[in-house]
Amino acid sequence: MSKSKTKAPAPKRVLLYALLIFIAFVLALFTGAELTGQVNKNNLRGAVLAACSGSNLLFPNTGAASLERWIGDYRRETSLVVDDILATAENPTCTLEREDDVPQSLITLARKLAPWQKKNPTLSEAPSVLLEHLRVYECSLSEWNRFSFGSQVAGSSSSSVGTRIDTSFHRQAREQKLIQNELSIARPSLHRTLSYVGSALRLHPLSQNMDCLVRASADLRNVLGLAAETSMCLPRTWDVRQTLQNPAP
Amino acid sequence: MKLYNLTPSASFSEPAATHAESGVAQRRSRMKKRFVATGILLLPLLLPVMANAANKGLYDQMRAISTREFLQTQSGSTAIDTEVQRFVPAVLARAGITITPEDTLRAFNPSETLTACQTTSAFGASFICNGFLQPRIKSLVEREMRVRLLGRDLQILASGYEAPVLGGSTSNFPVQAQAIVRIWRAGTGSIIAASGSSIRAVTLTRADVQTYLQAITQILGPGLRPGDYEAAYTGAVWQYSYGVRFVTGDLRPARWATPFPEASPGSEREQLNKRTPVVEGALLSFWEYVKTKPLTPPLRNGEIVLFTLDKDAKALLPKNLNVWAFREKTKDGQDSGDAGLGFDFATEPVLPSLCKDGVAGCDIGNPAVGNITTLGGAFPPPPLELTATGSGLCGMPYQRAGYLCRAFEAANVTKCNETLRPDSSAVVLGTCTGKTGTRATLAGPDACSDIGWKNGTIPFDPNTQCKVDMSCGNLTFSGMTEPKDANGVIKVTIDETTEGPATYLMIHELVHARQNCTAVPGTFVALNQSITGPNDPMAAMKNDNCCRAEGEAYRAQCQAMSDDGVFGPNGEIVGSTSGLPLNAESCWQILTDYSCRERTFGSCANTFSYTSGNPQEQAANVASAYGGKLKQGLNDIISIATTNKPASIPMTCSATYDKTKPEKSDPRVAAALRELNLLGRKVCDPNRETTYENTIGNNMCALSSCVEQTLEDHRLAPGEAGFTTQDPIALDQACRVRTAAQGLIEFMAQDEPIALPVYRPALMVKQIDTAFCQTNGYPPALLPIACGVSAQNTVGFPSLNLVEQAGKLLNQGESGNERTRKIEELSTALASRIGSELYNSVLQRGVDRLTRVITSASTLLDTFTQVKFSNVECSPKAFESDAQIAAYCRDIAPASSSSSARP
Repeated sequence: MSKSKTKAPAPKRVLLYALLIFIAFVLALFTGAELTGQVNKNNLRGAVLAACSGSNLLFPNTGAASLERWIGDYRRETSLVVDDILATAENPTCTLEREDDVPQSLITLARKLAPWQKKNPTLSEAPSVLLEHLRVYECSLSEWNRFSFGSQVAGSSSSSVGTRIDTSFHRQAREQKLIQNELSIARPSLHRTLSYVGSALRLHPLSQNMDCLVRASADLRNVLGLAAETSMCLPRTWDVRQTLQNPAP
Repeated sequence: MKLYNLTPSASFSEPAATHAESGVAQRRSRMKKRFVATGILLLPLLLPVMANAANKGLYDQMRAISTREFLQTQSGSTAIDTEVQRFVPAVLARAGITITPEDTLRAFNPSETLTACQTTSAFGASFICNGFLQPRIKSLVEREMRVRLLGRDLQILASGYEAPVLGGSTSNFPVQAQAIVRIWRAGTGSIIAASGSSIRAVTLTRADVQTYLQAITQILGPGLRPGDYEAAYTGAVWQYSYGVRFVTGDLRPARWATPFPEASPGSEREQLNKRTPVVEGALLSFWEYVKTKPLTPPLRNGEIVLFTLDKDAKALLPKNLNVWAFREKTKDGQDSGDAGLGFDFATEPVLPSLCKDGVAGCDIGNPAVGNITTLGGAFPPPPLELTATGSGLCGMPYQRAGYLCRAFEAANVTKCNETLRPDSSAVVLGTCTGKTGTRATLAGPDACSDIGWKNGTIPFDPNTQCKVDMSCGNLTFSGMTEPKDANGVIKVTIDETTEGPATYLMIHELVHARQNCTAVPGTFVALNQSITGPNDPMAAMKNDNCCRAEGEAYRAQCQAMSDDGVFGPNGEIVGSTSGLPLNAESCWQILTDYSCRERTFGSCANTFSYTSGNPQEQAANVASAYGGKLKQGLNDIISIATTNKPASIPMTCSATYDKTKPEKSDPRVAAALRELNLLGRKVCDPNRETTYENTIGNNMCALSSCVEQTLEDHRLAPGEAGFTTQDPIALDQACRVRTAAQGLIEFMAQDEPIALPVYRPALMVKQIDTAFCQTNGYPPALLPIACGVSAQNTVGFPSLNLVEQAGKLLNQGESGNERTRKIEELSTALASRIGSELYNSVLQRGVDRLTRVITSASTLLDTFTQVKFSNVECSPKAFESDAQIAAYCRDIAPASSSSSARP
């Protein structure tokens, strides 16, 4: 008896599920964009122990084409920072008043990330910066995956709800493939890059100092060359019995 | 490192796997490990010539590898290595199933069918080809691709680790070390021969090499590499990474074994050792250009030139490709060198070919009935017993100086107490605790005398140099110095039984030798012309010459006596039978006066007064001069010298001096003899041209030589030459006071011994915790306990495809395994970095020391510019009156601190 009361008949259960899905859909329809915006506005909240959320600084939501742009931006920015780190190792600035020669692209990127809001990163923190950048990227993709469908349906200009939903489904399917692809590839790619860079740059501090010492040594050599040239006159300067000029050969 | 023996894991159903005999599997496994280890040791890697190559696209390369991991192209379509596409049909063929290479791609698309699929199976083609086969093809492909991915990951690890050691895109460590040594070293001759070759760099512009690089690009471009990871392209770059002439055998010394393991065409290692004639031709053309390129200055024996490409020239090459070249003249004058290829970032290894290149079928072995063939390639034969010195690595300009290429049984081993032997289980860098010769010089520091820092030698010139021939003999007088003869020889003879110790007389005569050393033959300063009579117009000059020449000699002689304590332990005035106050000062004046009077040159001025007699007396008879006190004074000096000399000073000439062993003489005599042989041959002599390589060491040698020559040969004022370095140079030296203008002494702090760096395990654990969190996708500062792998991650990225989502939930364990594997990989890299930091800190101390030396040198050079020279003229006269000297001492008394008066 009690069983029959607590277990709804099958058709009713289907209806209940359908109702719940509809409610969820409507909520998503009207609150999706706002939710996304809310997270982005507070993207730096909880600086250190940030939740997995997108970043309006790094990956701003600018509409339907945001996802493709994020993917391109992430690849370009990561590649740029990696290249700059390697280039800095190759050609250090010897006249700095600080020990670390940090490329500007790394500083710019780190400043947009929560842990480095109030301080510049050191070069040894570059892997951490890139990994945190990746994490924010993954969270942005995840967030887009969750909320973009509702946003697109709500933001569509089509008057027909059916058309709006259909278009959004197609877009969602295409974007989901991109997101899955990125979520699969981005992290192992960065891990491989960091494995190489981490090993390749392990002698970087020494190499940087050596490079600067080479330059300082060359300067010293040239100054000593002048001193040696000048010293050739010393014995004659001290000898009052002979001229300072060379006698005729 | 070439990872060429990754054996394929072909194990689809029963066929291929059955060919692997389990009985030998373990032995083969060991063999494989050994072979891999050999490959690592041989390190056929990039030459660091192209150190300034563009560092672009490392991340893109890694991304391309990662897309391959998921069997995708950059555009998202399915991608499988060509070798695997050909290998899978061969495996299926053994099970009686026929498919095409393209079917392996179709197997990954559920909407496509395997159009070419046929089978003789009893289950029928409809069952096998539709549904049954596709997941198995996928599994086989994924397995093979995973093995190949492992090869790529190992290559990344190896390349990353080796990059800073070998130089190249991320570090110029070998170049920097070489540059510092070259800039600092002293010596151009034997030192270079002992320590290695000299290396210089020449930059090639786009205009120089456009023809050659474009040819190489055309060959290695689309024609040879249809895809980014085409094996032929990768194989060709690795193949010529040691140089084209090394491959062709032109450069290989006869003693070297063939560096390439046997690899017949069609084997799995075919691409590893496959020669490509078109590539060889292009590289040889480039080499011919490099070989004949004029160099200024021309190459010397033992010198190497590295050719580097400038940025524009590098842009002619495909991305990540480098072309390098070097040229050298060996120490025995032979021309040599090579040109080759290399990667900027060596991320792609030469992977197994799996199937014959361009031929149907993948079976390796004897196809006759009853014989074994193996799919995907046989195990390689045992590795050749190559020593490191027989590899291409040891032909490279920098690498051949490394420990892998260093002969353990070198000639130098005889000087070391240790016997150095290679050890297969350890890296033996070797030590040498043998004694090295020490050198003590007598005539001052003798800067750089044992280093060939000058180019060429200075020939002997009798007009400006001399050779002193000193000997003992029987004379009627004490000693004699003859004029320099036509051969530049000055004979000095000392009476065997002279009065007084012979040492002091030798010192006296050697001053005379020195006075004539740089003059033309026949010259004898002061004493070669006597005064002809009272009306001789040159009488005053001749008197002056005698007083100066003898004054110098007696001054050195009496100074030596004073130094030996003849006049008392503190050089004080001692009493004498003549009543004259004897010390070094009165000694040389008495002896000079006596000597010149004896030779009828007249008297010399004294700075003290004889207590009896007329100071201005000009008596010809020296015995009666000053009431006989002059002669008495002479006898007193001889007597005191004989009585008070140190016991170690002999009396006779032969006991003092051995012509065959002049260095055994009194140090002052030996120093004077050595110094005389250097006179006129010094760096700073007038008209002397000295050339040397522009290094810090050689510049310091030149500078030191001139300073030393200043100290040793100075003529501050006539009659005031010091006998040896550090001798007093002026009468008034004792009354000088130190002023600020005389400068300060620069001190350099003593360095502490190098100690092992601090080991901080807690820091390491913290770093691993951070890496652990970030690997799992959490912020770096999160508590590690919260960073564990969450099964909800799979739910966290929901898919709209419910079936796929369910599959992901089922496979979430695999997700965890994947992350575990990543953490393991990351730990390796982290450990590498931590270990590097430890020895980095040791090396850093060496760098710090060098930094301090440079800083001190900079300070020292800066103080050079602050030296103030005196504006007071030196007195040209040797003998000044008491009043003059007193006035002089008064003038430079403490009140006059603005100038040091006399320089």
